[in-house]
Amino acid sequence: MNMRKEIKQAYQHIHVSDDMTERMKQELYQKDFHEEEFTENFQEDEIPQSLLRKHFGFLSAVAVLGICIGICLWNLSAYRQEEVFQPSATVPVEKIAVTETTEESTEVFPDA
Amino acid sequence: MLSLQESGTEHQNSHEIRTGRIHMTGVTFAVIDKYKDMIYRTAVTMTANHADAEDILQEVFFKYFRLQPAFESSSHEKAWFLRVTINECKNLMRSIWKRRRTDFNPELLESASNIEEHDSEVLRAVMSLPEKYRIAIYLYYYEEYSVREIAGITSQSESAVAQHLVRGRRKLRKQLGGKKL
Repeated sequence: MNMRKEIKQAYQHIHVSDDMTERMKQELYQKDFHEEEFTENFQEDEIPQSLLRKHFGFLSAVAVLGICIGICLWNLSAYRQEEVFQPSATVPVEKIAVTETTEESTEVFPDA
Repeated sequence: MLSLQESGTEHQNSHEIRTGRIHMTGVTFAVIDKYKDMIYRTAVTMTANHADAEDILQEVFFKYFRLQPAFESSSHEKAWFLRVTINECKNLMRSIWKRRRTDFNPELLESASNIEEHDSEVLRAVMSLPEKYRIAIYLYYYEEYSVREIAGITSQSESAVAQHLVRGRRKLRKQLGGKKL
């Protein structure tokens, strides 16, 4: 048996039961289609706005979350920049300069 | 053109005349009986959910009786019902908060109390496919539409429909044990 026949046979089991059909016919009979014309149009005009509101809420939440993450990352990078090595404040600057010059003269100008 | 009678005859009560309640006739029920199974199967295929499919079925017929469209032929009428059903399913699935999970269980179908194991397996395999493959498989194999017609009904390109069919078949073949399509 090929797949086409198998799919057709399987789908035969999907159909509307008699109870469901009767319920639907009763509801359709009770339904007042003329009264709903105005409300339907009103809803059709309104749906794009409500959809926009729903998406706007979600997007706002994502934006706020992104801003919070951005602030955290910025603070982290600022914190790292503050961790710069500083020479000891107790050692006089002149002594550091003399010591460095002496050491360099012997190395840089060996046979002057 | 469907012949619906609006209640306005003398023996109808005044409430019905004022509100314009549609008087159901035998012709109306014939349309329901003709297309209800097709609409329900399409909705089950799209949503993979029994309860949603019932809601869609009602919505499609409500829309039909509200709009009372004119059709050139029965094939035009059938295509209209399919398009509206697919659009209603897409509207239902569109909402981010109301996105449904696939929880299709053939044994829960009212009409499938004695469903065979093999048929149940085939239905589960089809319903496990992504939605765009499911609808292409259903319209091609069950409703026997061509690729071009499916493209027109689903508002897609023919190449997209062909691709969905190929990939859907491949997945089905894998799940159902390599049977030739």
